[in-house]
Amino acid sequence: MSLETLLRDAADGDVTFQPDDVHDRVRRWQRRRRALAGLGVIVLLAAGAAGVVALTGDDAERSIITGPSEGEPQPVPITEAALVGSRWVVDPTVEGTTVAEWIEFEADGTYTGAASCLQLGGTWALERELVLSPGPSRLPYCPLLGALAGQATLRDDGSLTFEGRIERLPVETAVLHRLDELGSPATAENLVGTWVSSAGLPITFGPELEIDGCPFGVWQVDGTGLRVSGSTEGLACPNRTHDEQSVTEAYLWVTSTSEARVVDDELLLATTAATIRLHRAGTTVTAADLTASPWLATEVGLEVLAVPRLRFDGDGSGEPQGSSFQLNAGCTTWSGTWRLAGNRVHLIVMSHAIGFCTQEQEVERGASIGLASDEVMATVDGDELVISEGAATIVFRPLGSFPAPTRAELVGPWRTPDGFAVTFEEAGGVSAEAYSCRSGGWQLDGATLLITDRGQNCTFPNTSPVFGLLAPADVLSIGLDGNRLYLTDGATVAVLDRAATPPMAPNAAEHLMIEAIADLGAEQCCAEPSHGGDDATVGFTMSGYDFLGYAAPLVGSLPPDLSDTRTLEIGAVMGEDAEGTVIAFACGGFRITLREFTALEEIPSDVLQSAATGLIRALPCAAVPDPA
Amino acid sequence: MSDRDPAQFCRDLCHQLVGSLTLYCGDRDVAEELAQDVLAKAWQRWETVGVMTSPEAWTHRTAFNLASSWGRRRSAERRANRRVGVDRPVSQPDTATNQAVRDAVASLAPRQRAVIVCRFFLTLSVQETAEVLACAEGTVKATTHQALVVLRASGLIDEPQEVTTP
Repeated sequence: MSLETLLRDAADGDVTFQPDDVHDRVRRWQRRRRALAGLGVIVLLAAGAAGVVALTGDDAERSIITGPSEGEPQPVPITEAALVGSRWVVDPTVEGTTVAEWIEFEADGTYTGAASCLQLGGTWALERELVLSPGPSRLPYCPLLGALAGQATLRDDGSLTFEGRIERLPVETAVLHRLDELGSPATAENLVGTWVSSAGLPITFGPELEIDGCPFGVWQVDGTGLRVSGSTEGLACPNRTHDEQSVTEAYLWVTSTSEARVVDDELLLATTAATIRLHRAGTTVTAADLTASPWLATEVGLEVLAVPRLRFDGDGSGEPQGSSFQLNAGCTTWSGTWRLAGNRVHLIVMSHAIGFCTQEQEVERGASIGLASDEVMATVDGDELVISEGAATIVFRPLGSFPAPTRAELVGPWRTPDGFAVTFEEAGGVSAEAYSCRSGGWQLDGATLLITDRGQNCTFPNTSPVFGLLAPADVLSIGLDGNRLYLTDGATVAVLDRAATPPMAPNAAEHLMIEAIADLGAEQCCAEPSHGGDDATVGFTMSGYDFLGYAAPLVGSLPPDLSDTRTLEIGAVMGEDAEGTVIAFACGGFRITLREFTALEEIPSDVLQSAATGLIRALPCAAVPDPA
Repeated sequence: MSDRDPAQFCRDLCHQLVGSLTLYCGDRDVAEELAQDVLAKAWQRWETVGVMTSPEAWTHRTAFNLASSWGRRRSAERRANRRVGVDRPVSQPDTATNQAVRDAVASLAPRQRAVIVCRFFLTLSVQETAEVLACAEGTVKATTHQALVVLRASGLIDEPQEVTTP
């Protein structure tokens, strides 16, 4: 009976999709997330993290997130007085863009607003619950629109939550707060300074109003709101770096503001058609800050791969196609999307892949670093990105924050974390002594290392990431942290430690195998070459098959535990052990075995023999002794 | 926004997902519990998952990762036991062969288990398996080899296994 049939029979059974069960789980997770969001704010405040929305002691002010005093916020009756009088804004700590979603309830029973992809409008009524009836629209569906079609709940923390559903399962949720209960009104004092949109467009309230460094008139703010007296003549300013449309749009923001609120380092402008959110300059992190170079957790060591590294790509919008992150911690890699809001980075884990590790290695590395949750919040403070999960805190630093080494600091012997030697030579070459291989040349230009010549017949082992960088890469970014050197081509990060002692002597067994494989014209593959004592293991591909070669000092005869043995003409022995077919032979004082490395189907014996023949001819063997 | 109906996606995948997790965990009750968790995750994130090239691959990958988490497995087992005791009749006892198969597969290392389930139960190709497990195709091949060696040693299978898909 085939394995497929065995598995099918063993897995069979009646099962039906239970939507109610799924519904309960989603609701449970949402309640837990709201509770954790409040707890997270309290924890970050206690840690003194900068840039986090702070709870104030002033009764006249309310923070954006008011954590629960005891337990979760409790529902309260929805009244017309609670709804009317100010617009409701979607929680801006969740959104990462300048234009916030909002809705405003009018006393005449109508409502207006704006979602991410369309303008909102319709009627509202308080019956047994709040019912919104949207006006006719042929515009595309938006998540906020879906949420507004669901159940509304007003809570004693001032939040208004809408939960949309499909077949009774929650699918869209929107949490809104009254604008007039956020922060404090904009005044001449707290408005002064420069504010920046998510696209980096600056708006400065100084002696005059400046947008993108260009003058646009005068401004004042009083009890009636923000007023600007100016014109669009500033568009002709030579200092302008953003496009005309963006600058014009920003001018319209400030000239059509009906209400302005300052919430710590955020400025909220309510205009006729939109709610604009700006950040005070110097307090925000841009997407470019995060994507410029890999972030390294330098306090955590991971043997061969040296340090956990976090890489960001995209614009931080949270869209899967536009914002991706990857955290590599050795055995495990987490990946997903990321959303930037102020100086906080919301990591949404979509998958994690467990690499080729033993269970012990997994446990060990998991203890050093790990993401236990599907959504993790990181804060950025200068050159530090901090992820806190429970009691664990991981601090990352960008590679760009490490100073570039001088030429004198770079020249000399270095060693990979697993002990292989790399030397930057005074004359400009790079040698890897363990493999008698020398790359051509290198040049140092600030924080850039240029490999100028790849050298001839130089096959670097694939043991450490550094060799992958030095062989094919031309331009590397480097940074020196004490006696540790970081190198990256933007995707791969490698580490070298300054060698205080002579480099490790090459393992003769591995040297033997590497040379023979190179002479055969085969490609190394499948597993990292390994040597710990006198023996070595190397994988290689030849004739479309993957082989595993193992070399160890010959002691006594060839392995006695082979069954069904027969001696081949080349002097090797072919037999079977617990893992399959093996060819074994002696060469130059070593016992070498060759077997299949992968098996969707076994390697034909003639292919195995052919590989063994090639290897014997390539190796510096004396007369092959009688294996018996 | 995806045009696919998330409810239909869950209905279509449910049986296959429970089967995979039954083999992976060696326990059908736990597998059903975890499958509901995974489908709830897919539902909750449908705005993102629904527009992926292969929502099925994401769901299977999430299922394997979820099952690998010891803490979740234990609490799911407890919930499953409570459910079995209150709401559901006790499932029919497995045949000796089926239980032996589950035990043999469950004894594999997590990555080996996942590869065997993908290749021989879900009959995914090497490329598709690599996509589910987010690893290189070479890793899939190497892990398959190792898993088959262990299963042969356990006596579950005698001969080299041919896979129906490349």
